[in-house]
Amino acid sequence: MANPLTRLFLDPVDSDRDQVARKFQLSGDYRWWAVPLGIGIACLALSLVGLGGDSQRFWYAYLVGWMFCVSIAVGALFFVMIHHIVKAHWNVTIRRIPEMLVANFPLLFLLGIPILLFGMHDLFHWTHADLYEVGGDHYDPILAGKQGFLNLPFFIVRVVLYFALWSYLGFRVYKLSVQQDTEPTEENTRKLRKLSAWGIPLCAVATSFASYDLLMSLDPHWFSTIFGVYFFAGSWLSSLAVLALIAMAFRRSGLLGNEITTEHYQDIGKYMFGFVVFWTYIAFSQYMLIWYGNLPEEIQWYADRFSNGWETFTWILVIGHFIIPFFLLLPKISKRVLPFFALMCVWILVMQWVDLFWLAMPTIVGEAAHTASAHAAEAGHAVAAGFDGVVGLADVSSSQQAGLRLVDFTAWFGMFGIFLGATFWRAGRHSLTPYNDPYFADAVRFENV
Amino acid sequence: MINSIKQKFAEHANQNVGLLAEFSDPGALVHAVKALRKRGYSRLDTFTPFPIHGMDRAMGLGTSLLGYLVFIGGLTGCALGFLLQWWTSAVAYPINISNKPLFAVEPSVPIIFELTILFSALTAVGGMLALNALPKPYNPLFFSDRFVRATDDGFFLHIQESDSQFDRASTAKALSEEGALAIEYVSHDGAEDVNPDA
Repeated sequence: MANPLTRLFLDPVDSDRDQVARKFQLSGDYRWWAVPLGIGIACLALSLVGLGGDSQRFWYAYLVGWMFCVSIAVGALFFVMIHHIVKAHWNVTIRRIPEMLVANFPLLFLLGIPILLFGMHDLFHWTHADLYEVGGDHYDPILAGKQGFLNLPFFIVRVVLYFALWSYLGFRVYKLSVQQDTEPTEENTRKLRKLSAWGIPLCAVATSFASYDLLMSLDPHWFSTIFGVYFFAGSWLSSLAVLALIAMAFRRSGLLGNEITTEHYQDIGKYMFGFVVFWTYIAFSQYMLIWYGNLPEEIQWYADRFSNGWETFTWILVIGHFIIPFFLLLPKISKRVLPFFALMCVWILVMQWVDLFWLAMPTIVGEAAHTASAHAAEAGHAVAAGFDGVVGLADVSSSQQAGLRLVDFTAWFGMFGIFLGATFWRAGRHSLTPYNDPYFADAVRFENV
Repeated sequence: MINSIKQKFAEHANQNVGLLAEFSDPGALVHAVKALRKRGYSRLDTFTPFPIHGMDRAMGLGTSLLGYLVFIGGLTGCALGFLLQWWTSAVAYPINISNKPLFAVEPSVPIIFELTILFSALTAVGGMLALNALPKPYNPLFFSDRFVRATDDGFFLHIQESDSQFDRASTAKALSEEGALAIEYVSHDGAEDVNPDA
C-alpha cells in the first residue's frame, strides 16, 4: 500500500498488522470497513439527487453531516492530547480508538472541498457580491464592515489552516503511538506529551475559529463569543459516544474484552454526564445573556429558532440534550450495563446531530424571509411588507418551515458512514490498543474507587 | 420500642470494643479482611491512612446512602430556588424592570442552579458526618498507643466483640494466622496486648 493517495487520505502509517500481538488484531474480514463505507457512499449518492431539487437544502444538509464528523474528530483530538498532557493512565487501553478517529482529518478536508468549490453561494449569505455594492438595492452596511474578515479568499485560507493544523496533530499523535506497538520506546510518550503542550492551545483557537467560520457565519449578522466553547462541548460529547460504541463493537466480536472493562465504560459515562452538563451550561449562558440584552442584532438568531416550527427542535434539545441524559446517566448502573450505555451513546450522537442541524438549518428561513420581503417590495407590496414590521417571517414558503427531509438524513449517514469506514479500515491495519505504552498495565488494572 | 432504641445506642457505643490488629501494608490488610470474612466474621472495620483500592469490595460494603441523600438535597435546593425567585420577584415585591416579565425562568436559572449546588454540597458534608457518626470526641480505640499511626503509616483491622463468631482467644489466633503484627484487646477500660499463642 505505497499508493500516495491512500497514504495521504486514509492511513499515513504502513500496516503493521502482521507484527503486532495476535489478540490485538482486528478479527473478521473486509466487511468491518466495507459495509459502513458502502452505506456511506450510497447515502451520499442518494443525497446528490436532492441537489437537483433544492440546492440550498442539499448544501445545508451536507454541511451539517460534514460538521458532525468534523466535531467527532476534533473531540477525539482533544481527548488524546489532554490525556497525554495530564499523564493519564486509565484511558490508555481505549486510546487507539480516538487515535484512529483523528487520522480522518485529511479525508474530512477532502469531503469539505465541494463546499469550498460549489456550496459557498448557497450556504454563506456573506459571499453574495451585491451586498457590498454601495448604493445598490442589497447593500448591507453591517456586512460591508465585516468584509475584512468575512471574504472568500481569507475564508478559504483559514479553513485550509485549520485542517492543516488538525491533520498534522492528528498524524503525529497517531503515528507516534502506532510506532510504539512494534518499537517500544518511552521516547514517544515523552514526544507526545510535548506535542500536546503546544497542540492544545493552538487546537483550541483553531476549533473556535472553525466553528465561527463554518457554523456561526451562516447567519453573518449574528455573533456570540462563547460559540467556540459550545461547539467544543458538543464535539467532546459526540467523540466519547463514538469511541464507546466502537469499543463495544470490538467487544461483541470478542476483542479487547479484558483490556476495556466495565470500569473504563463507567469512566467514559462519567465524562459524558459531565459534558452533558457542560454543554447545557454553555448553551444556557449564551441564551441567557442574549435574552437579557434583547438587542435586535443578537435576539433575531433566537427568534428564528422560536418560530416557524423550529421551536420544536429547540425544545427537543432542552429535553433530549439535557434533561433526559442528565437523569439517565446519573446513576452508576446506567454506565455499567453495556446495552443501556450503548443506547445512551446513540442517543447522545443523535442529539449532537440535532444540535448542529438546529444551529445551521433555521438560517435558511431568515434568508427566505429577507428575499420574500425584497420581492414583495419589488411587486409593489411595500406597504404590506413594511407594515409587518419584522420582514414577513410568516410569509416564508412552506418549504422553509421547520422539518426533516430525506436529504438531511442521507447526507448525515453518508458522511458518517464514510468516516466510520475509513476508521475501521485503519483499525484493520494496526493493533487495536497501544499495548506497548508504558502505562498500559496500569490502564488494564484500573478500577473506580 | 424504647428497649430497641436503648439497644441501638448500646451497640453504637460498643461498636469499637473488640480486637484491634495491626498489619504491615495495604496488601496484607486486604488479604486479611478477605480471609476473615471467609471464616465467618462480619462485624469488622479497617483503619488506614489513605483509601485502598479494592477494600470496599473486600469488606463487602454496599453502595453508600450518601448519593441518594445528595440527590434529594439537590432537588430540594432546586425547588427552593425556584420558589424564592418566583415569590420575591412576582409576589412579595414586584418591580417592572425594562418591561421584562416579573418572573421569568431565564434570569432565575443562575439562582436556582446555585441553590441546587449549595444544598447538594451541604447535604454531602452533613450526610457524610452523620453517616460516619462524626464528630466522635470519645472512642475506645484512642486507648491504644499504636492506633495513633492509623493516620500515618499503620494499617488496622478491628473485629467487634459483638460479632457472633467472636471469641477472644480463637479470634486473636485467627488474626495472627492471617499475618497480624500485633493484637490488642480494646474496651472502655483501656487497651491491653493479647498474645495469640497463649
